[in-house]
Amino acid sequence: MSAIQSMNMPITTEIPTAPNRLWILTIATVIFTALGFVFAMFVAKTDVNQGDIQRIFYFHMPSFFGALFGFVATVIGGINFLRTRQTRWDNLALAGVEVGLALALINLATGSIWARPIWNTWWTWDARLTSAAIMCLTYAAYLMLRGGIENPEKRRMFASVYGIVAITTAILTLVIIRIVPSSIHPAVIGPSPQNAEGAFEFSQNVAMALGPNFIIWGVLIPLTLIWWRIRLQNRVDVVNLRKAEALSE
Amino acid sequence: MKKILLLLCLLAGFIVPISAQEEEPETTPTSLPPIPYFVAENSARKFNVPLPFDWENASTDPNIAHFTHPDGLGDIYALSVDVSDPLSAVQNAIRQVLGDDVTLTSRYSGQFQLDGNDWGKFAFVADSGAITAFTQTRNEAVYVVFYDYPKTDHEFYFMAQNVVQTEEPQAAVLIALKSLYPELPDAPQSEATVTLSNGDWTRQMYETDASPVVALWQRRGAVVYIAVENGDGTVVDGVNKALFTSLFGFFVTPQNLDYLWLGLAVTFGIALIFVISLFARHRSLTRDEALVRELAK
Repeated sequence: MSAIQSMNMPITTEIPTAPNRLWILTIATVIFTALGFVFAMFVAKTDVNQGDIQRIFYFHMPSFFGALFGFVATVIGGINFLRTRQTRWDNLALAGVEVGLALALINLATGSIWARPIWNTWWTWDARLTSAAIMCLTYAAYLMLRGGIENPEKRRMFASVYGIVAITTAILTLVIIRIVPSSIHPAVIGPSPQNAEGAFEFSQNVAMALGPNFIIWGVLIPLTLIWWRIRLQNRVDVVNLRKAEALSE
Repeated sequence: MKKILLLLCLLAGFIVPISAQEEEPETTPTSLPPIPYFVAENSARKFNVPLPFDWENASTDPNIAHFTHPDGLGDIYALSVDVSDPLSAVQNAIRQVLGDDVTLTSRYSGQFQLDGNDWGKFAFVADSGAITAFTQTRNEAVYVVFYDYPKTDHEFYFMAQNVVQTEEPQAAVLIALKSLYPELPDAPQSEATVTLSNGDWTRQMYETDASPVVALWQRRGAVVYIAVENGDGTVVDGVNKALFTSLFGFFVTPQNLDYLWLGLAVTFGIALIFVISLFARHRSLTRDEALVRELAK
């Protein structure tokens, strides 16, 4: 909620300092991330069939949901920008994409590293992997699109529409293993596709390590980073405004 | 109010993925009951071994699987030993389970390939009876599965022998049998195919001067598995399936810690790069701001 409050700040030439709530959230995120690491590495037991590499799952899956958190923020920012034309919503959309893309890259890279010992390959053109790669490229293209349009108003408008449409790639990535039965990617919750390789039982032990990391990587980290990124963008706006004022004088 | 609505929208965004994860199963689950497994608790030397049907789990140590036959047809043990030499590992494992004072006389030893792994095969005569052991060396440890057949008036062993695809399995069977009973004739006195719950088996009887030798064997890919008894064949018929269940289902946890470190480095590396980029952009803005101030002056 506080992240939204900082978004509501009008563009002035005053550069605000970070509120205490943001610092508290940041410190809490760092502490909980360390705790989540301990849960994944030391509390969760070693998977008998997959060995230690299974622990990467405690970061792999939550980071995807963290990316989704960012991309949903982009949709909200995009819709509200198109509705109100207020810059703060565009800042939210941009922050959502940057943070979401970073987490999606973590998801993609950790998946590839897990696949090497379990599937005996770094990469395969499986439906889930392909859709995840398309999702990353789609959001990377969002940032390129923004960089390629000079006019700020046009840039924000195009980016808003693009950000809203791009969420389909994230949703598709999420549901694809349910609709493409030939996928070898296992499902964590619910039944895996028929050809899935590398599935493991969702035991209490797994849930105990996954739960905290899901909150940390799926909510806390994206929320904190989005908040900081919005503050940075607010500052960019202030500095740009000052530049414009200085040039006009 | 607007903020609350926005927060609700954010939460609603998660309903789609969560509901997508909880779809009903598309296929009906198999009706076969799952095989119960013994799972070693030692995190560094993990393995799992299936509990054969009709056998009882008598394990008391969390790192040593111990299955016993209710009619006294023997015991199966599985454990890991931190000794690199398979023969020493087997002797170490047997003494760990049966006691340090057990005397072991080797009957045969060798190697075979199964699923791309090198397995060791051993047979001993012990004070307690006949012992058949299989080993697998992984991650600087030796994993041992051994069958202890109690001492009676006849012996029972379980063997495995690699067979070349083009070769007749009988030749491999004879090589294995003669490593135990060198006086065995080249051809069996009688032979029949028996259908057991785990497939068709060839049952052969060899006459020797001492006592008859009954062998029950089956070829699976590049390996021929043999249960052999110098008796009337009662034990062969009774326990060969249990031993197959344990051996085929025995699984050693792979060692892939290096990949985990790589994954963690990438995870925290990307997160750190993002945070550093925020700092870098912040510093750049501070410099820009100072410049703008200078320009304004």
